[in-house]
Amino acid sequence: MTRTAASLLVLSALFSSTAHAAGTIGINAAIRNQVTMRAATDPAPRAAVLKARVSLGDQVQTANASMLQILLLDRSNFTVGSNARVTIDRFVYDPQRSASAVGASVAKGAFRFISGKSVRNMPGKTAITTPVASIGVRGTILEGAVGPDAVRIAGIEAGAEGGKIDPETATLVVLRGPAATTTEPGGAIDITANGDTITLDRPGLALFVPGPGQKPIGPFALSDNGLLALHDLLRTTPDARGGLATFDADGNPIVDRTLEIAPDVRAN
Amino acid sequence: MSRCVLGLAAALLAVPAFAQSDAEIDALVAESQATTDPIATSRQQIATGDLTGAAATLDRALLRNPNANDTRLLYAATLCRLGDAQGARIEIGKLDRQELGDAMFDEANAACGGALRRPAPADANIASGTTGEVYGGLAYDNDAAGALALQSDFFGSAKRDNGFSLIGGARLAMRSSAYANGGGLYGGFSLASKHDISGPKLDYDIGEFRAGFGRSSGSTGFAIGPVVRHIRLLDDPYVTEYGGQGELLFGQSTANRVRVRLEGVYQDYSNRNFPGNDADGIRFDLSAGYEARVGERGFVTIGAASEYKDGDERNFGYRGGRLFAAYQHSFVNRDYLTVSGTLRHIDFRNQRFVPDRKDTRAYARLAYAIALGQSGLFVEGAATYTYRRAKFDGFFSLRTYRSPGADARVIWKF
Repeated sequence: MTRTAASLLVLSALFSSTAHAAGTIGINAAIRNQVTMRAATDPAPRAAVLKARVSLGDQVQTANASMLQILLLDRSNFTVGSNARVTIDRFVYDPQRSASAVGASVAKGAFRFISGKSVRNMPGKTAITTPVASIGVRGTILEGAVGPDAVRIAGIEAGAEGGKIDPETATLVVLRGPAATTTEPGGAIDITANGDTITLDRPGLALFVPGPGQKPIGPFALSDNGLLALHDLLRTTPDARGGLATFDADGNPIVDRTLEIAPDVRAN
Repeated sequence: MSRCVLGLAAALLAVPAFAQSDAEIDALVAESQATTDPIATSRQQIATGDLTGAAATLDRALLRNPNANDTRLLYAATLCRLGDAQGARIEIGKLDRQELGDAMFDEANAACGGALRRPAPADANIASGTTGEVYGGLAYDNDAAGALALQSDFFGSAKRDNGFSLIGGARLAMRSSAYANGGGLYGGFSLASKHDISGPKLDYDIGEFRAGFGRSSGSTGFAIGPVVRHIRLLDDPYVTEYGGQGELLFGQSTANRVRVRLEGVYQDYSNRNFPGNDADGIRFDLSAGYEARVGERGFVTIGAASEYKDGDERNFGYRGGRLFAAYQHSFVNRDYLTVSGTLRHIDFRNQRFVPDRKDTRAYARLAYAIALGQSGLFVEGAATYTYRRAKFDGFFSLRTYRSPGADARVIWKF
């Protein structure tokens, strides 16, 4: 009874202070290429619209070279990268206490989460789950990938070798910041997989979970190549400035730019 | 009692959540729209110590406008302040060197403790500034003689030279700062040289100089100016071309545009062995190509061209056309793969007592370059194939020329 009553009190406290436990939790702040959304109440996919409201339980799906950034009410930012499927399935925000918690499920693809300041005031409540890992967020910037993208990036990393890889559920997570030495508190994430919990507390540290029932591999420092591969899924690149201009599309420099000389001249 | 508690909890859960005020959502929308001036907004956030907020603002702005280079520079600086120097280096590496403002770069570099390096430019077609490349290496040619000389199948005596040559070259391109801002001057030169070290006598030197006036906004623009080109074969002057070039660029973005070029030159051949062997004349070349980005790291161009040569001696004149295509993929470690090819048809003009001739020519090149860090140095290996088939209405047939080759070179792009 005591435990049940305590649970009730927690629930009551939670919901009495939660202005946004359901309904709108944020907006589509930036969209790149092809992004579709399915509402929890209406499974029909619809094209994502800039500035449109995002509701709890909306499922986001992105195509190749496509991205969506959701700006949440607590000023957390969730970026869904290429070929991804993500649902934000929990959101608690108390503006008076400046406290919030976010829960998201990443079934596939790349993602980046930048937590709002209020996340720190509801410690241990923000988490991102993948099919094989749970990432507890302590106020930070983190990136990750689930599925084939994670396997591809892990394949670049010497520190991510081992384990039985499941190409559908393998998960790679990297802490991007902030460092403890900056003006903000240091960020950290706790990754739990197959009963093990490993903390990443330094920017650039990564962890790889090869598949269900597998022990997490790491932490290891993500290489430049690994981070570049992740960047390609989550960030943009400037358009080419005539990148083809240096191509030798003019043909053979002699055969196509001169008339032929007579054989006797060549023999001389 | 437990049931009562659970029932109460269920009732609480069933209570509809508060509807957030429109004002709150409007504030969120307004905040997201700060991308119209993301630098000012993020500087305010930085000033208040909200570095993650600033990073999110800049991140959002770059999603909407990947070509905002100042925004990307400030983003890199913010990443460094957040302790992510590795991410900052990658963002800087995406920018063309010429487009980095000194003040913004210095700010980013200071934030990163002086660890940033200006990246090597990806190409020579710059918005403004100076860029170029120098290369040198070794080439192997099969049947090199046929590249220079028309050979008959008469008695099957055609000579084939296989062997190695030294290759080298340079390219420099300059555009004034006004070029991308209302119009300005451009100029540049290129050199390409090949000299045998065993077997093939395929020695040549090609030099080109061009200059003029143009304007570019990235996706649209024009350029017009004179061009001079000189070719030496086998250490002797062969032909000098002088005339003009013009170019039009139009498209929706720098990654999706059409480029139309026209070149008209007078060809002054130096070598006249006997009367009637005078190939001097005017040559025109009009080409149109479509350029597009493929994904985040691929670039493709495809196009067609029309050629016309009006020789002083009629049989040296021709009409022709060609198709060309190229694809380049840049890998995450700055390595790149390039495949390119041309297919060309030339119909030489008919003249009494001179057999008619029509050529089909093809050239293909497949290259892979390994980047040596961020230094701008690349080691490139390539395979080439050259083909020329002449339909000749004479008493004898011309030998079809097939020349596979390969080369390896070190390239410094600056």
